[in-house]
Amino acid sequence: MSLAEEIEKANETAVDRMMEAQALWVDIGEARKIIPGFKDMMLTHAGPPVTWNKASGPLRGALIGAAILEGWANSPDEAVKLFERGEVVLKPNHELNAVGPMAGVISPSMPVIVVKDPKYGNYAYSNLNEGIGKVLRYGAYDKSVLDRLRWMHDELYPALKVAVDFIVKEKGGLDLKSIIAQALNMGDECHNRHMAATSLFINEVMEYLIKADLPEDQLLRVLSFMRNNTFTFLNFAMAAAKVFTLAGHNIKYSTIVTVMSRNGTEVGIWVSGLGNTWFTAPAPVPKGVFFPGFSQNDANPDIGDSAITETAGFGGFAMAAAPAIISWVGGTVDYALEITNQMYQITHTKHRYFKIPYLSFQGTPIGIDIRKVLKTGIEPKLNTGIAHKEPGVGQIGAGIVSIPMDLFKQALRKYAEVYGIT
Amino acid sequence: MREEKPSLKIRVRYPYYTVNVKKGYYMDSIQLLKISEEVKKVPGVLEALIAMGTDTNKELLKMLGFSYEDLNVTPNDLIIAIGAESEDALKNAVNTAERLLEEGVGETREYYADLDTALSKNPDISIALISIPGQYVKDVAMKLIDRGINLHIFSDNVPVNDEIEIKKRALEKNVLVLGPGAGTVIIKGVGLGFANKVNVGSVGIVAASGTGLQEVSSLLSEIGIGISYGLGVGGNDVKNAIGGIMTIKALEFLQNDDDTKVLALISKVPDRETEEKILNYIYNNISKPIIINFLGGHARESAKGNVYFTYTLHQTILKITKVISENKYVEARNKYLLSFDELIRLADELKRELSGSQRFIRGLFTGGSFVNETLVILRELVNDLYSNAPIEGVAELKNPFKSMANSIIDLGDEVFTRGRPHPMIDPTIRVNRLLEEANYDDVAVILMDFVLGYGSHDDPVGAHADAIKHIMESSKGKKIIIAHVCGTSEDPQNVAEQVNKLRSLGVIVMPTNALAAFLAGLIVTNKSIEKLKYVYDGLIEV
Amino acid sequence: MDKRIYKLKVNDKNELNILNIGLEIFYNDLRKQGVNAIHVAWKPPVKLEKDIEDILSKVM
Repeated sequence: MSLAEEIEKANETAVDRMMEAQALWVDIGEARKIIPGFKDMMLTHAGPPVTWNKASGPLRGALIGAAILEGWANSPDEAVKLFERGEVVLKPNHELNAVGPMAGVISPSMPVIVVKDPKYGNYAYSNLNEGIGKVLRYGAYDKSVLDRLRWMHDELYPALKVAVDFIVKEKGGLDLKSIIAQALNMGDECHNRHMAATSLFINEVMEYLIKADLPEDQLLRVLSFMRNNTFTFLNFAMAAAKVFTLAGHNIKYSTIVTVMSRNGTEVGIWVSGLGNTWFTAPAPVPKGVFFPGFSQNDANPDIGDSAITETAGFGGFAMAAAPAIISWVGGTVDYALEITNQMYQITHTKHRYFKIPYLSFQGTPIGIDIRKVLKTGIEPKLNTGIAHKEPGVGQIGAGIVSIPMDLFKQALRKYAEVYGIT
Repeated sequence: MREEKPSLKIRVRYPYYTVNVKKGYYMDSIQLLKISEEVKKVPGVLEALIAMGTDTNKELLKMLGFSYEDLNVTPNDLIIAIGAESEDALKNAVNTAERLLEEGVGETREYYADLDTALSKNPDISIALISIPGQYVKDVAMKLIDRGINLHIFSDNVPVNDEIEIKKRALEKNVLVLGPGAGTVIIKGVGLGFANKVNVGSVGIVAASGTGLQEVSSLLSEIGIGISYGLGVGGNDVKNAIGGIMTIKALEFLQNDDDTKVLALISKVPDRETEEKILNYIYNNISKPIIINFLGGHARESAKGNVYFTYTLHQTILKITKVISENKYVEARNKYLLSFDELIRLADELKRELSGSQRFIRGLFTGGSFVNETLVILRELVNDLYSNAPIEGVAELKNPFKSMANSIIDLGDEVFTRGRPHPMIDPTIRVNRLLEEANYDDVAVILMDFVLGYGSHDDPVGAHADAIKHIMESSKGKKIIIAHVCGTSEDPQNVAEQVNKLRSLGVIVMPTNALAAFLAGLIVTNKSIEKLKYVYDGLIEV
Repeated sequence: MDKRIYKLKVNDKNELNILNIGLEIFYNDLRKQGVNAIHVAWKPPVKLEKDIEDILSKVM
């Protein structure tokens, strides 16, 4: 077989596995206990590896908040000194099979959900979504943020734990893939719009939360929290995307992208046939629409593990499924279709299970192929929230961002080296 | 207050709703999405689902709270479901939906980011219209030719060697290449590039001259003579480097086309050897009547009964109608011809408004063929004639931005269009030049063309209205502006409206470019009346 | 024998299928005329470094 044929075969395998992988929510627990490799005095974060010195505002804010939350520091100043002295290990989420939106900081005592793929045996983890506004993942770390995180640990997590234990007993776990597929037919794209998905999720867990026999006021607070945060499902969707992409990772010869992620300073990718090698480049600043009082000048470079949704073939790649998101990111329906059409040019195939009703039920573009990205000159495009570059301010808008071409060039050169192409 | 028992099913009820089915009514899903969105905007509408009757949509229908009994609908039928606050709102919404279904909302676009994918998904392409920068045309063209796809290459600045290679390959693959530099192609009423909406009929035209094709096809169409094919071959094909290969192939195509009964060949003068080659081919292979118009060419007697020669586009139109029928010929003369005496009278009238110092013509044209035709006529009537696109007997205008004496400017020339849209699309350069020319005391007449049709500006006259008004109202002495409008009544920019607008601005509108040029010449000429009649007989009459 | 030299392919409704590559205005005009047309939004070929071109030619 020629090299090109080997690659086609490998890509076919990788993407098939990505489509056939399952995603069941099976557990929730503290990061230190649940995530293999998670140590004390460690904080994980979104994107490729980064040092405190190079970290941008929102990430620094989240790290400071996490340090105070864990009791490693009593004030922001103390926290900063801690990081400057290198006393906390910083590790990318992806290196522990975890994902987190925006700054994506996970600390040892934070509750994380466990998503399992029974078909290919992979596990992925994510934290719980705090809601919108002043939140840790956008770099805010004042008392309200930390109090909310403590409440999530003390009330939300135990409630969800009892519920998921019931679900696992009854049916093995909560089928997240099915929620995503349905939500895509209901106007969500499951990266920036989760209205339907969150509704479906709450629909599913309601019964078990009631069975959990929680004190009524706790139950009501838990319900209210989830219902008032349309992004509740985001972290579940991301963990599901992570197990899908894990299924397609480490396939010899494959040129399919299995991780795309940003830390606010750099953006990085992994390629299936090149294992856990990071290829990085400066993260671009997203372009979009801004909330009143903010502008492009205030924006932080792209940040978050949520690009895992596009890597798995939904999110921004299903933009045409979510007309509501399009106006939110300043575009038009035609523009969304244009982008989705472009993404078809750089992916391996159309998803077998995730369909876009308004494109006559075509499957979403899945399996970014680095060769096609280079050949067409089309960079993968995603929707994203935009953070203020100063820590503590929060989200200031939403828009569209591309993953830079340079990453794919680096990856191809490495590929040539690894696979002996002269 | 009556308490409602909590229902386990989430059901939204609409005070007023309707669920209708249009059997066998298929519509594109993107269109339906847009229509649903529009209907939802109608005041008082709570929900609207206008979609094909697939299982998913039927589920969605239920989920949205539209109950129905045994809705007999297949995926090929259209569901219209609307929920509203009031009966009136519902009625309005239904009417809106019906109207939008009929008219459509905006356009559906089939858009590809790369050629290979477009080709793999569309195996039956008849013809490709290429308008990318000239240096990149070859790769795209070769790819298409190899798949047997005919080409219309609008792009100019294609390197000559590329053009030769492209046409050689096209001959091998039995594929027609129209262009490079072909502004206009008409195929059975469909216009590609800059083209007018013309009737379909039996006149087939090969043109190495875009606006020439537009002028002839428009004027014929307006008197009910339709065009089968208008094949623009671009300006380079008739040069010796290319040797007229596609001109000949296009003629061959028309000769073999059952729907084409009369042929016309319109071109500026080919290079000598190529001209002989083309004429040889015609004498030996074309049996249908053919009118050959080499703009600015030498007088020729036809060597065969079916071959006719004309020297202006104007004559070409008259000659074609003469060949078709006596009735059409009379109609054409009535509509497009002014008698010599009429023109002399008009010129005398206009001359009276001029001051003694006014003696020059400035022509500002967007169409290269109109420049050509104007020069052909004016070189017989005036001295000191310049142009940035000169023909034999006309001097070259060294600086295209600065007119001298009588100057006819081709604003579509590369020097004006580099990095800018063509003047038929963007009037900025001409409007400014117009104001400039009108400032000179020695300018008597300004000549202009207004080209309508697809591709052109959506209101060419309107775009110049302010400038023309300014000139007409200026105290700087009268300027005579003479124009002609090239277009049809079916064009997006209504020809009658454009003509009326010009007249109301005080512009003299002539039915053809040749008449406009001739009139301009009459106003400033110092030739004898006998000479003028001679020119009229040779270039205007047939 | 088909006397036409250059067959302009048509679909079963006897309609032309046109591929437009380059200026979008021409595509819009074709659609306005109710013609079956597709548009290829051409971009200049990606200027890739020589080594990338070489590797790509071997892996695609």
